[in-house]
Amino acid sequence: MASSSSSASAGAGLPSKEAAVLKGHEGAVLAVRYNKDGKYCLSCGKDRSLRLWNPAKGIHIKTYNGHAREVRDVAVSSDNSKLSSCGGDRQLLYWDVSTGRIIRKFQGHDSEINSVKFNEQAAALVSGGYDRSVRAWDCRSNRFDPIQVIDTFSDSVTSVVLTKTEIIAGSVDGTVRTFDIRNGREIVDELGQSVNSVALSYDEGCVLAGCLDSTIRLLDRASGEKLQEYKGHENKAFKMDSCLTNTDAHVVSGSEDGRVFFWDLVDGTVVNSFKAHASVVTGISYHPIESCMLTSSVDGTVRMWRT
Amino acid sequence: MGHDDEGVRAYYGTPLVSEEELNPRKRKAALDQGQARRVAPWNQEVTDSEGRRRFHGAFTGGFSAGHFNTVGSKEGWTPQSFTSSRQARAADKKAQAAYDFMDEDEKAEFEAKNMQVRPEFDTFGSTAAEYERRQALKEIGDRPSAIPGPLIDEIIIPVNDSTGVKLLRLMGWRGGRQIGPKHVAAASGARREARKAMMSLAQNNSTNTVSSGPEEIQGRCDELILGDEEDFDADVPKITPAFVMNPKKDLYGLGFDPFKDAPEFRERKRALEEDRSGDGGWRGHALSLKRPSLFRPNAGKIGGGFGIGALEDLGDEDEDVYDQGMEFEVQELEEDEKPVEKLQKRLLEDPLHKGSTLTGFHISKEPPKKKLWLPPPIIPENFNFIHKFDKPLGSERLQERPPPPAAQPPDDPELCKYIEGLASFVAKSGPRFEEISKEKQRENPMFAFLFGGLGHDYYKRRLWEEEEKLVKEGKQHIRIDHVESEKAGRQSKFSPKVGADERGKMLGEIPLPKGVAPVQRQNTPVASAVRADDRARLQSALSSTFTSTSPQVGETAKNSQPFKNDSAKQNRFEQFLKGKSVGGLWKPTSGGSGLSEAERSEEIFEFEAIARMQQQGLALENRTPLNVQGKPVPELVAIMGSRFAAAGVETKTTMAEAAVGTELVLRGEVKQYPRREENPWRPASMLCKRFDLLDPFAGKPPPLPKPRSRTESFILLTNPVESKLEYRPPPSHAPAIQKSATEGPKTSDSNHKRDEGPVMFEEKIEPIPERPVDLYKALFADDTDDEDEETRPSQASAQAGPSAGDPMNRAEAANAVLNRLVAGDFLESLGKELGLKVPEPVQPAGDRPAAKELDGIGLGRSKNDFENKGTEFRRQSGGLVGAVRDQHGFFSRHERSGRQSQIKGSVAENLYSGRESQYTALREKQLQPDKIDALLGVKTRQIDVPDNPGRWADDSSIARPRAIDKEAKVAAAPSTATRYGDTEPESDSDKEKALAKRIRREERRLQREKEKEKHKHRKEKHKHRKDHSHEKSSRKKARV
Repeated sequence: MASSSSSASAGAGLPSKEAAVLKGHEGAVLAVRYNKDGKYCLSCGKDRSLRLWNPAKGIHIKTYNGHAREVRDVAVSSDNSKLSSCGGDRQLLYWDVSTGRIIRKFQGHDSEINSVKFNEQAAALVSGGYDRSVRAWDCRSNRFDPIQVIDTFSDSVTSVVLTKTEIIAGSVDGTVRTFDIRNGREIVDELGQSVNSVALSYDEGCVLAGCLDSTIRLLDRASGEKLQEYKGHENKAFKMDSCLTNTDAHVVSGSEDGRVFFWDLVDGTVVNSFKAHASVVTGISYHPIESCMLTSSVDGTVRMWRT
Repeated sequence: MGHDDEGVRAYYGTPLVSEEELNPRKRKAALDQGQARRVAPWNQEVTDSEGRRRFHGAFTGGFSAGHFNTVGSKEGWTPQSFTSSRQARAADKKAQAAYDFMDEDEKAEFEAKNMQVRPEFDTFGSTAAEYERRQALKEIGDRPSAIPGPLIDEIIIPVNDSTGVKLLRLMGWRGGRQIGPKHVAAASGARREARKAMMSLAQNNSTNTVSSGPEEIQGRCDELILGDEEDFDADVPKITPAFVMNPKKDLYGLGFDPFKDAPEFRERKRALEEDRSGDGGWRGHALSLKRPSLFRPNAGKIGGGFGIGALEDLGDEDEDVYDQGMEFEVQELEEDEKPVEKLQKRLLEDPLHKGSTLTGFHISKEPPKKKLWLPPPIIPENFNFIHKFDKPLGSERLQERPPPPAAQPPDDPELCKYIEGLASFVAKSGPRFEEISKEKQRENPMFAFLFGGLGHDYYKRRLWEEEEKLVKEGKQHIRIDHVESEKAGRQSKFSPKVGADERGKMLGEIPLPKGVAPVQRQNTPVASAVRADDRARLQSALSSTFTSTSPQVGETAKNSQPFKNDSAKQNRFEQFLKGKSVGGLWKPTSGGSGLSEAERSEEIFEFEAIARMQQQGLALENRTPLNVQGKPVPELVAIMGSRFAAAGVETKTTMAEAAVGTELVLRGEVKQYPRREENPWRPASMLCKRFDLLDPFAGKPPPLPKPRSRTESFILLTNPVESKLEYRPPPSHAPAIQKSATEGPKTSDSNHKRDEGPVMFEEKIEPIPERPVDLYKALFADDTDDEDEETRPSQASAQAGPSAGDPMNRAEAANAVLNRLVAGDFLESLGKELGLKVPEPVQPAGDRPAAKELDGIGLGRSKNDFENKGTEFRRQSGGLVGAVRDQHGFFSRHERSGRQSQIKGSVAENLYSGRESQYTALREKQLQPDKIDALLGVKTRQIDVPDNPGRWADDSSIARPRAIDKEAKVAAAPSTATRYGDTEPESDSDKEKALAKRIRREERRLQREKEKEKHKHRKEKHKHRKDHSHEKSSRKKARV
């Protein structure tokens, strides 16, 4: 369990001041992701493009066009050299960051892809989609077909998270499934509610599962017990992210009314909440080191928040 | 000789032209086409069909296509020489058309598109007309005529006689005459006469109708003349359909003829028309230009003016009106009503026409009646369209009766409770329930108050009070039909739907503890609506496994004794309550009571219901529908059946499924989310590599594809390679077999075997993968103990039968097993359908632990015996019935053992957690023992056991298994053979055995022969394949 009782006093050190607005996307921004060290960020949206930003300076660096439909998720490799994005066109694109070329198009998903992640070494990609499957793809060889297809889900896979040894995926069928590659077993945690987002705590001991009943649940990964529930925000229809702060002290999530909520991890009480966007907050990414946060919204902006 | 040959020889067909003689151009083209495939595209030449080069290096700076290398035609395409158009501005300007730039092949193509008929074959003159038109246009261009526009030229078209007409003329045909024998036309003579008469009549009668048009007259004259000539040429119809130009003046649809079936009206219409237009008529005539017929440009006109009368018919019968040469037929139907009215008036006035326009047709003098329309009735202002009752429905009944005098409750508090409960129940459900309970509880002293005994007054008073209360609450009107909906708050008042909870109650499930348990009363009557056998089944299948902890039940039920009459039952009830208060897994402790399975489960069901009622303090009112035996009251069932039609209609399986569903729902609610489940999962080796992890399944063969059907799974199971991969042998197994071999005397053997029945199935509930090892062993292991196992018995029985050791035989046997498996499955289902049952052996509770110790033996030895017995029995009784029975015995025992054994939590979890696959899983579990048994049977078919199916139900000595166990521990393996031999039993079984052995020997012989054949075949195949591959390789070499 994430031991983080040393949380700051109510909402003091939490980012709530708008530091920058990243404008450029035409239409809704569906996701925003920091890179590993938090220097850059990537956003993707309904305008079928990916954008690379320097959020600290508020500069737009590059736009990557290549998707035929909306881009739902983007992932950056740990060395910042590669991107991967997925979206409504059922394609998983593997990009070269500097040249902006598409290195490979992975095709195999039978419908929209909701989420994609690089593994630690950026050697494999794991994606989950509406076709009820999680697929693993090889970045090193020239294969275009998936290394493995996991199709034990009974509904759309909304979110995928990777650890060094596991694939964790949340699905609308109400399960968070952990595929332990090292031990060769699948752990199914049934939550009874459609899982919208899955996030890991920084100590990787807990999984935060945002559910479509406007509740975020914190699960202990070892035992599968529910440690806490976080309520107050609104999440019933949209795919949106929730995550933990880099200190594992608070839980952050957007809301469908454009607000951002902070909960105390242990108490489950709302520590802070503010109106961040005019519309649904789709993506949230917390800076890996600093107390800084990015939110993306259907209103077409990405905003950076600082304390 | 040669000359002779030449003379005799005959030549057919056209000789082949040698290639040299071909047009060199064409040859080149052909060659090019052949080469085109080989030459790179940029080196290929584009040629036309004649083989001429089309693009002359225009892109590579070569010569061009036009002018110099003039495109290909003789003259080529030369550019126009420039001529100044200063002087002749417009006149000389010659328009260029695409045609001018075409090659001959292109021209041919172009012309092919615009097909034209050459004038001599232009039968219909269309092309000629077109040609003329064009010509005229040209001429117009050349010399402008007095009348501007192409009108005249378009109208007047010169037409040549076609070749056919010319030919006919040459043959003596005159225009307008029929081709063919003349007498055909003679048939119309009589008709012609009649028409003539008509004509003259018409002439006399009405001057109006006789037209004065010049053509008409001409036509008539013609006819008269022709008629005089005694020639029927006038009647000869035109052979080609004439093109009648009828200007369309009406508003009918194209081709619609309003007078099609009533030509008389046409005539009338025309008369009217003429009448209207008067003498200055012929408007239509003037306009309707008749195009001359092709075949007889000047064909004689035939009698027009009248059209066709009723008696009139021209030419052939099937000729249409239009074809009759009505040159001036004008169809003008006026849509405006005026003239019609005028006509009508005139006709009415005219005495000649009065009522005789047509024979048998009279015009009605009375105008049509107008339909009477009545105004809608006026609703009085004070009308109220919603009826309101002054008082609730049930109130009259109450008010009729005077309230019974207040009575003191009886001293016995329990009785008091019963009375109160029943009263409230009856008040809610109607007086019929009172009658029913009266009838049913006639003997029950507790219910004496119903019959005027102790507490009767109090009961009456309570009943009245309850009814009063209900009326006041306004609930009376919902009454029986919606007792349920009353309590289930979320259910709408009038929906007869049954929610999950209610259904669960109906099925007698125990609601597991919730945060706030919804108190639901009066569910037992509903529960009893479920059919008795269903309930029993459900009970045994579902709720027997789990009971909920409810300590308060025990307390409340301590002093209540609902089964005073039946002390044994009361005991059992108390025991049940005790068990319930403990909670957890349900342990049936009522064994030995002499109740059948169905009865017991029914009883449990009843107990459950009662316990629940007592818990809710409503024991009595819920008790009423159940009589003492716990069987549903028929009347009540009937009532409930009508109320719960849907549930009644449901089949057993759906009920069961629903029950499972509700069970799961309940469990789901209770066992809060999140739930955790672990499954094996195999990551792809590449995935492991990319994650820099060791593949946990490294070196293991790839996983099997999921079997889709049961038969498929059979096949997979019996596939030796796969079973090898999947299943590891349980470590204790081999010794177990040995142990079993060391068993004591045969008689006791058969006994303890029976005892083991449940035990061995207990083991079967364990995870599946460990089981089929025996098959694998049977098929492939050539370890000695297997060999021993097989040879030993045969030695012991001093039979010189063929040794069963050779592996070929085993493979064959495995085949047979597969067959038997399939057959067994079939027989199982058949048996179930037939409803055959095997009497159950009653198992004393004491022998379980001992039997448990013998698990291994159970697997190894007794199962074999069992199988053996089964097969033997089958053989004896001619197969089917025996087999069915065999299967049944098997399963009933299995079931029982399943319940009696303490299933571990995980196993139970396993049983109930799979959602959809639950049933299949259960099925498989049932199947599994069968399978294994059959499989095991392979190995030990030689072991002979005296068969006596009747002995199954025997009670066996309890101590035996233990004794054997000890013996097994002590006894040394080698001595078993002799011991086996020693215990060879009675003589009658000997005979059977001998017979069986003979059969087996025969079988084995056959098998071996078959196997040999197969082997041979395989060898041949192999050889063939080898040859083939050899050939291939040699061919390859040759190519190289």
